[in-house]
Amino acid sequence: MIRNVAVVGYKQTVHTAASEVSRERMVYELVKSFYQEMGITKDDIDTFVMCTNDFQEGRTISEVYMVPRIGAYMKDETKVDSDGINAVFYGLMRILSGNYETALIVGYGMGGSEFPGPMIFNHMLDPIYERQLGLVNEISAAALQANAYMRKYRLTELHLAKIAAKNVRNASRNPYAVRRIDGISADDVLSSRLLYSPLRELHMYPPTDGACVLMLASEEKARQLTDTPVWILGAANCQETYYLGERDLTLPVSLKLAAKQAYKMAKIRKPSEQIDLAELHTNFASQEPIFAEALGLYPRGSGGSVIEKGESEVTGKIPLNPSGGPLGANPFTACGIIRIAEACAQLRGEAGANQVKDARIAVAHGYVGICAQHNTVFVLGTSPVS
Amino acid sequence: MAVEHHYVTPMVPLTFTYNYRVGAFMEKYLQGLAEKRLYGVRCPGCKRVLVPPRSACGQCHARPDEWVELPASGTLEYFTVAHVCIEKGEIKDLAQPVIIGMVRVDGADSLLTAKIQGVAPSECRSGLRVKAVWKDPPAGTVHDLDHFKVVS
Repeated sequence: MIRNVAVVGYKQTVHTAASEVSRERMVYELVKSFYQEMGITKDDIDTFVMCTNDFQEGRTISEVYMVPRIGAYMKDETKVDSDGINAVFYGLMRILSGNYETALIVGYGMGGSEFPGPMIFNHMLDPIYERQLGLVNEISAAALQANAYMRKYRLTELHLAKIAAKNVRNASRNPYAVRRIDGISADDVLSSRLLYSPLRELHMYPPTDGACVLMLASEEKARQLTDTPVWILGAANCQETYYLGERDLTLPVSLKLAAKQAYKMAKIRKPSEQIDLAELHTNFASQEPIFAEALGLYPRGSGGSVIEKGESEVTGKIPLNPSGGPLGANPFTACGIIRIAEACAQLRGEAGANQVKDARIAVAHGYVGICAQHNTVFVLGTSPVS
Repeated sequence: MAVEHHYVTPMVPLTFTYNYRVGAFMEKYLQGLAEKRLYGVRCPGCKRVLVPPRSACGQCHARPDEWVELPASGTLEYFTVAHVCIEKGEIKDLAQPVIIGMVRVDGADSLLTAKIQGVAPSECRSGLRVKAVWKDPPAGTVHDLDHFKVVS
């Protein structure tokens, strides 16, 4: 990268299944308290990037109500209609352009209380074919993907339940998560509501209301704003065909390619040895091994042994979703921003009960599209690329 | 302290209709279904046979131009047993489970999503041979290929 850019601060809401306050007030209180904690005002922000989705808001130009709430009034402001991780990507590019020193990224979702979550996912299907057929949706597609991986690599339903239980256990120690079930076991997962086999309710993200704010700054500004900047070492995205039938569901090639580019920027040669943890946008437990393997963190097909040996636990070889990931909370469009915020919390030693020891380099991942059609990868570290 | 009330607007409906032109490729596919025939296209670059037909191959950035009639037989690659469906965004229980499969029609390089019948959900497995069963009479819609029936 032509200049170093860092995450200088982040804050997320305590996520809920149904926010008692409006989304505008939720976002205002989050961003206002973030400014106060950082000791800054809106005048310290050069550019704002929001992430919303017009379908989930039920209106176009869907970020418009948030402009005064986040401090973007009469300022440079744009919106990304995608996962929030791409808003962070956009903010990064603006700082790299040399025209901006700071960027504020805000994402929020009200899929817990304001609209049925699966609705917006049905509206991303091909309207003239798959939506007409009525068979594919976000959950059934993930179930087909799970079936493909389980068949190819002999991952059992018990393995899958253990992966879900591991995530929810981590979420139970995360004060921001909405799904917190103390002492959850694989049996609890296996006795939850069966949706599309092998996927059950506890394999899937919970309906969530929540928001996340993240601030980026150039190196010069970052050093003024914080003693603990988290450096963006690499960032890349890639996408593949929207049609499920033309993809290898066990390996999202676009994620593999995005990771390759991000690692090249970050000078990561052996991700499985150099990466200390990963925060993955796993909307379903079955996606955890698939994404971790595409990212080169674990060998292909190792999902069963990784969970059996405890390698993906907070204390394991490469912890996956030490925060609990989206199985703990998934406010749509904020989810990818939260992955970066949680990775930063680890690198700054602020992850509380889920703190990974000696975390220096982390991967954060976000996706949009059925079965992760478009993937974005961030590599973050405690020191800039030398 | 004043009591806070949290008013909710119970329903803001959003309903409108789109009239999509399906394009020449999907049109021919649907006309084929109306005659109980299955058509795919072959890409001049990678030579893959894609079904449903695509007017652009993402891999080659080329326009597949050779039509290929495919047989009604194939192999079940992946499946899921649906115990629920999604109706207007809500997850609803189904009275009877339905098998949703991805089928590799013989001679095709992509998979078709369809309902699978003729096997108990508990007996369903990848690799089963299947045969297309058509709606009678067909109507020239994506629903004409009603399901694939297990034949082995």
